[in-house]
Amino acid sequence: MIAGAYALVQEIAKESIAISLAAPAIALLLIAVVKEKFSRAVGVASTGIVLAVSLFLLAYLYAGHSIAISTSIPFISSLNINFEMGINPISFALFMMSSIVLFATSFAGNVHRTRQKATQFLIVLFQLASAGLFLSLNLFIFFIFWDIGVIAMFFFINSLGSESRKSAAMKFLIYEILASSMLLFGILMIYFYTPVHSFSISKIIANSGLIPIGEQAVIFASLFIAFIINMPVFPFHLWLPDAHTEAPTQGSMLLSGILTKFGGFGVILLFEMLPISRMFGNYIAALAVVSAFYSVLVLMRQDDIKRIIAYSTITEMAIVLFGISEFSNFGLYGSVYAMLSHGLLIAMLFLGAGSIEVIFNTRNIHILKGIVKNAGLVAYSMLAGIFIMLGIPLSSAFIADLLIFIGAVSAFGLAGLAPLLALLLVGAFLYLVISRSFMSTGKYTRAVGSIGADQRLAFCVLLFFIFLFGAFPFIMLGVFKI
Amino acid sequence: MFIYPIYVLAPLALAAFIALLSGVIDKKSGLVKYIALAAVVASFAITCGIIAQGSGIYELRWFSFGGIAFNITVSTFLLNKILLFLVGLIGIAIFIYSIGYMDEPENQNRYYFEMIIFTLAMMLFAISANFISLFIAWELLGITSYLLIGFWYAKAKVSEAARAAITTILIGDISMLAAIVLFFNLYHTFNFYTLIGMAPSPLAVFPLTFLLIAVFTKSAQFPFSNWLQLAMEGPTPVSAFLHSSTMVKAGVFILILLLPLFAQSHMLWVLLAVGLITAVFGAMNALSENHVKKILAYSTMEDLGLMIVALGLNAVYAAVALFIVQTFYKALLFLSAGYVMKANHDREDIHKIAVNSRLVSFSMLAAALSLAGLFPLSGFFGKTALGIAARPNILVYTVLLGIDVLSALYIFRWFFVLKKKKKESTTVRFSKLPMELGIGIVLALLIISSLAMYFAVNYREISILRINYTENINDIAIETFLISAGVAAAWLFYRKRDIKALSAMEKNPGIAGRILYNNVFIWSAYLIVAGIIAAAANAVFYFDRAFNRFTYMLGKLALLAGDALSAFENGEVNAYIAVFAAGLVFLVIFFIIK
Repeated sequence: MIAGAYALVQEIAKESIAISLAAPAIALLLIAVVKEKFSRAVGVASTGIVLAVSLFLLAYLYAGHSIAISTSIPFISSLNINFEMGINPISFALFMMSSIVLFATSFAGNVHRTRQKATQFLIVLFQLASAGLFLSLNLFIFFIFWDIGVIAMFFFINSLGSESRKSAAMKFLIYEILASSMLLFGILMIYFYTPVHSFSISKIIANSGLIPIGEQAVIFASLFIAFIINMPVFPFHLWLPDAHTEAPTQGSMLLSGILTKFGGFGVILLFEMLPISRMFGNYIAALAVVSAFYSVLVLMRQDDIKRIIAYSTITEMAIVLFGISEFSNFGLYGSVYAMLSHGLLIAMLFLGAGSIEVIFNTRNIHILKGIVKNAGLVAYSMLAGIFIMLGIPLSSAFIADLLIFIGAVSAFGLAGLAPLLALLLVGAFLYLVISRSFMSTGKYTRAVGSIGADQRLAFCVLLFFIFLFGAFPFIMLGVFKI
Repeated sequence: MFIYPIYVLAPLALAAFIALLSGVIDKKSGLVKYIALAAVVASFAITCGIIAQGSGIYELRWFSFGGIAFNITVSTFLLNKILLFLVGLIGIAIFIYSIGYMDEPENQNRYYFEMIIFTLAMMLFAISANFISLFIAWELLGITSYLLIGFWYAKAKVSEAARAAITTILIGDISMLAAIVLFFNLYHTFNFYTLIGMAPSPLAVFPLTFLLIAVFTKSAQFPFSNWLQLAMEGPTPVSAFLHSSTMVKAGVFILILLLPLFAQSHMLWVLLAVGLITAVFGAMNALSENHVKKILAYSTMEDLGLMIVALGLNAVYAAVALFIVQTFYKALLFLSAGYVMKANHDREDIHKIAVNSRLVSFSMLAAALSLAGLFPLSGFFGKTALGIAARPNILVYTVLLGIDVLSALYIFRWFFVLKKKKKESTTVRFSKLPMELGIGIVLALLIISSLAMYFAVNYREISILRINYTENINDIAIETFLISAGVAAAWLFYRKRDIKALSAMEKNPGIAGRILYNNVFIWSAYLIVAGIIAAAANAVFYFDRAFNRFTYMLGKLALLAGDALSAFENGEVNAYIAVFAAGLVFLVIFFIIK
């Protein structure tokens, strides 16, 4: 019987990729046919199943099993394009994060349950995109899922957002289409200039040294710009704050939580694929530092809680880029951990911002006073979120910061500590916001709404995983096997 | 490896969990205070067990990455035991005192939850032996102290005071992380004791500087000292705990542990200078402040400054002596202050507070005498040890004597003004017994510690303080004379004078008062830094807006270009043919020329 159970475990692990893609695909069809009120249940089931699969995989991999889970199905044989999917440590960490965020998003964030069907459809579509993107081993597949994600997010903003959503959605689309076209251009360049003519990432890594140096530089530039538009990094960051301002809460959670990680993941892939990237390490690090300080300083002048959090995303993603540009295990895995941590954290912060809007009908920090009195859980969760953003120990952000900055000092010396100063400025400003708007001096904004138990549960789920990965980092680091 | 010292945290962790749970289930049950007290007593019992055991160092593998182990390391050496013992002792007194003090039933769960985590963090700090466990404790201390200082966030000024604290602490946290990372890159270890044994490196100056910034923020040294007096907005038991055995001592403690590194890198002068400046500032401001607790806060600044000076003189024994004695008198002063405030409708001005309890009067006197440093109270031994250590350096010695006079003066000003008869004395009803019990325990501890110090000096074989009465009689005489003079001056100036005249005089401090009350200058320096950051933020913000407009204009430009080009697509076949023909002609000419 034990042998039977073991065989079952093996079987599930083998089919995990198929389940992760099939669940959202089936859910998409189901949502299209079921009544409005059941769509939520379908969405929760789909994301819940994938969360269960990813937790199962976490346990399976932590138990020491081989990570070699991959499938390859011929897709367009004449062009040597295969439907290659697989799990490696880095993609698994991001997949894990995305499944938690998606699960929380599927049942929280939409307090009034407006337009459930459309919302759930887009969430599940985005789920399909993110699972496919993080698990793909083929640039062609990567590109397809990238665009599915972008389109899902465009409709999220364009049809479910607030008043001036159309222009924000269009801005988002223009930037992302630019990114997509750069991405496609880069991918095609790689395809034509590698001798094997393949989109398969493993084959590209094996043969990328054979690409002439000039072409490598062109490929690098186009892919790097594509990815930093998505991350986003200064000077391509302008779409993010506007998109967040107009996006619904769930859209924001997915946008900052997962979509920006597409870019981070892409940069990691790019640096793995092209040997020329190492030449640009210092410049990229400098760009990251500029981006971090720039976003912090702009952040200090914002009134809207969502815009503040949006700019903090730019800061955090700049630190991620900084970590990746160290070209060391510490930097790379620190950045992956930072993305894992940041995805969960930012989803919680946007959920908090959305809850504040529901409860007080405003997001302006100059109008809000004494949130803690009428929305205690939200206020304390946001406060905890700020502590986490600043990297308190026992939260996942601490592990990320520790690894990134240990790597940074060995790569860049004292200058490697520069982003810490940006973090200090973020903290100082956010404490000001907490002091003025969350705590208060006797004035309280009147509550006009309330959030349900499902919202509270989502806060707890996200915080639970942040502290799980922070207090027991050996689980995820055991998967990394470094 | 089996790390039994960490079990000292178990009762507290359990109690914190219960407090959190009962906060969710039943907000008004009064049970949580007894649970908290029981947890602290249990932790203290375990502490005693640890003290009875031998000393050792214990490691627990937390995680490993890249072949490097990130351990949670704890040790039970003498210093760890001393701090653990002090935290437990004072903790018990403070948790008893809190039963009387914190009589708002709806806030009790929050209060005890935060207090328990605070105690837990300090106990973890006391036994930590590497940077990982230290940093966990360090940040937990910062966060819980922020929550506790901002406990009554609805009152005016409170949330701003808490913000001042957490912002300063944040500077320390970031510096500490920087120091940890730099130390690790330099020496490849997180362990303090391995670190001390390492060969000195010229690059060690950088991590040590960051470590010093972290220490100065936590221990409220110049120029990071301002949060300490603002933190007085918190509940008094918190102030008592924060200023006596926890939080502010954390910085000094880590310096004591890592002092050899500073000595190797020739950085002791920094400690000496900053410590002296802070002590002088603290004493001056304490003399001109009227807030009953803020005077004590400035005095803590002074005490901490003196400890840092002792470390700057490489006199670890003097620093440890000051460290121990300060715990008792400062806790006693704060607990008494909290009692008299509570009995006077939470008034804060020393000119408006009357002291009616005998126990409290006696406690205040004993603590004030100890702070001033008069024989045979414990403060004497600390100050004398420091004085003797400073004797070779005449400049430092002179300044220290001046500080001694000032501290005698301000603490007896505090005492005499409080003790004056005030005309209005309505009684406030509150549960006095637990508070008096707490004060009584700390008073007893003060007396016991005085006796212990007395024996520690007199029995030569354990004369750890290096005080020799016959050799150092001159120093002792000078110091005692000056302190007595300070007390006498306070008597003449404050005891003799009528309260109304005094109050009026201190409302208009004049030029001397302004020099003394120089805290405002530090505050303006902060504002300048904040202004520079705000200006930078403004500049970048407007740049961002302009950049955004610029991208819009690019978009507009594309649209205009589209409009312009669309003029060509007008459907007139003749025009198309004309353009086509022109192109053909152009091509032919081009090929002919070529």
